[in-house]
Amino acid sequence: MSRNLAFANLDDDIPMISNNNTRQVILNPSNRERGDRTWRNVSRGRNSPMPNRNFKGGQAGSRRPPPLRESNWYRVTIPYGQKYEREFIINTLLNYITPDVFVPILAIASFYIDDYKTAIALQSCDYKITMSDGFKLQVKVKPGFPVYDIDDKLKERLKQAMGKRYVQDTNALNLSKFHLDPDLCSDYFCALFHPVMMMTVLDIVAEYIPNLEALNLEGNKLQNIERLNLLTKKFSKLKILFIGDNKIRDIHQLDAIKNLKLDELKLTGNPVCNKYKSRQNDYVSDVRRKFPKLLRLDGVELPRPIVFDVVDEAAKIPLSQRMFVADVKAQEIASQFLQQYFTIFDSENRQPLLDAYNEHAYFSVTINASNNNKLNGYYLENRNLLKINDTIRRQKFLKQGRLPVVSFISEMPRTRHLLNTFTMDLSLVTQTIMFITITGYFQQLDNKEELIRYFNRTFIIVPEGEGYCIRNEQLHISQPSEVQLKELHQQLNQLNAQQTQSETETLSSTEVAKPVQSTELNDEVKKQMTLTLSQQTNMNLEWSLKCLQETQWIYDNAIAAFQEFFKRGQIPPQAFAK
Amino acid sequence: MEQDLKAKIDHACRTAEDFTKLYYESLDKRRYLISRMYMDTATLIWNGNGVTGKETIQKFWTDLPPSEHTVHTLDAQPITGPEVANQLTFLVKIGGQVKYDEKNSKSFNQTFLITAIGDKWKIVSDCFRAQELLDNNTS
Repeated sequence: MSRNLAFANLDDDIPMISNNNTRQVILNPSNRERGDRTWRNVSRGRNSPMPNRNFKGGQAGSRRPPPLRESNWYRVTIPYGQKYEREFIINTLLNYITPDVFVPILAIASFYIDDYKTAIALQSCDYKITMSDGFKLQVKVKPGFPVYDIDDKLKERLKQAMGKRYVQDTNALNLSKFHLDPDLCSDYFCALFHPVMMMTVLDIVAEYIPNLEALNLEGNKLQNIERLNLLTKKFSKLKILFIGDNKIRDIHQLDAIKNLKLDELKLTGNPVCNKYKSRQNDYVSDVRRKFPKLLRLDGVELPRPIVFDVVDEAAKIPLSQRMFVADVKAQEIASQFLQQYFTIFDSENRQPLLDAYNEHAYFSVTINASNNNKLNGYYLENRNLLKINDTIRRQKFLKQGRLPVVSFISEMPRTRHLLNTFTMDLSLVTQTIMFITITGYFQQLDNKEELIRYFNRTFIIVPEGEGYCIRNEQLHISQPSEVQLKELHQQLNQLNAQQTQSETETLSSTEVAKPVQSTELNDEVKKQMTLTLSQQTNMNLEWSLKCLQETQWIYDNAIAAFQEFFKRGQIPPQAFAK
Repeated sequence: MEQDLKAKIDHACRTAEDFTKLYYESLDKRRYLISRMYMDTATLIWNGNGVTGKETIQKFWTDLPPSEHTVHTLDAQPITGPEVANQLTFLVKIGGQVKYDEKNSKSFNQTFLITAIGDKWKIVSDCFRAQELLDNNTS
């Protein structure tokens, strides 16, 4: 209800437009309720009740039947009218046809009006008015409207005019009788029935008020509302729509906007309503078929609909979670394992991954074939069993054993995995086996653009020695969607900006930090540590020793240093020579 | 031994082909029967939502809107080694497109661990992921 008031207030700004007798056509009972609107009360005073225009024969009665055809728009020309002030002519005509009134649109030597009855009244003025200088005023009326381009200047004017018509409290925009807007109509012909004008206006609304909840398009002579399907695309929050007093002829025209989730609709005053004049129930049920959740139609509360008790399917889809782990301990193991794995995988040298694989490991890659052409660098061996049918290639594309796996992996393009996009699922955890699936995005570094790819990668890891190693691995690579790429590039840009900042901070803090002194270790322990580091990093003993010496024999620091330099690709190949 | 491995790989591939056809046919057309394909103690993880046990898995699938899967890629490996001993177990990864309720289709991957129980193949573990960019607030 409050929204209706908002519309009424707006209407106050433009009281002069109130007289349009074509409004009287509607015959359904709800019509009588229209007096509650402020501006309509104003208009009634000046407005004699006119017969339905369907009875126009009687109306033209005493005058000669005008050869004027019924139209939405008329051009009124006043030959030699430039002799007089524009205002003076308009006022003279208004006086003559009183109690009828009109708003001249675009008045220069001629002007436009939007009402059939007024057009007839004006036409009847021809040679009837004698000016003070004895001149008999000629008034020529023809159907027609002007056409012109919409330029930036006009768009600016439209924005200003629309700004006044928006009520923030109710989030409602009143575009009723837009062509008669006092700020526009003297300079422009801004009729919303014109598709280009309607599109321009709706584009502006979408830009400034995308969350619009109520829109009034009454009295705009809308005939074809096909274009209003734009509303369903741009205004998902729209709940109230007034499209009364237009030229909508058929109930099926509403299909264009039936996807709007409307609470309230005003349709009264359209030719389509006449078809239902004695079938009010059919009217309500036909409209409701288009808008099942409608609560008010033409200002009348509708009984609440009784619906079937079915679940909204879309609401049932569970939200995606980043991680599923049933076991916290297993999560720790898996996270640690993967962190090491991807650190080495993203480095310049993937050879150290030899330690990550079981001697009988299996590894295979599939690539989404439809995107194959975009996945340069991964043309290698796509083991898609739907495409590869012979057993020989099926065997060959399955890499078997530690060495073949790692050398195959080493051939793959260099990568940078985007850790913040990772998901992790631990599907199976037993004492002897763990089934981990990781998904996420990575950058492919063998090209200038650093293309982003999506991956889904499964590891079956089993305990071996002190740690775990990979028994089976399947990697799937595909192309991200355009939307995902856009979002990822945005994230990367932000990340880069943050990183530059934090790097400067860490640098200054490490300079201050003092090296931690370790207690003196005996040679046997040192030898053991060197051996372990060598095994874990795949560096030879000499370099492992160097690394431990430089980190004051703190094993964790040695590992961290190794990973750090590895990531930067600063460990020379001879460190791995054995 | 070498020959034996080769046979196992072939077996994995052929089983995976049959499995994939049957699985998605059931899921899209006879979903009320889908739990028959799972072990009693199986685990399903669907976009990070995990459920365990045949009955719970059946309920989870029943609650999802109707689906339409199209498979584009398929890969399979045998799992060998003392951990699975003589239990025949295969790892199967599928890539494709899925539509729920005839809405826009999404890329997805689904990875299965299937094992032979008597003369039937059963799913031990099923991990489904749609290709999506989770927002960073998601836990």
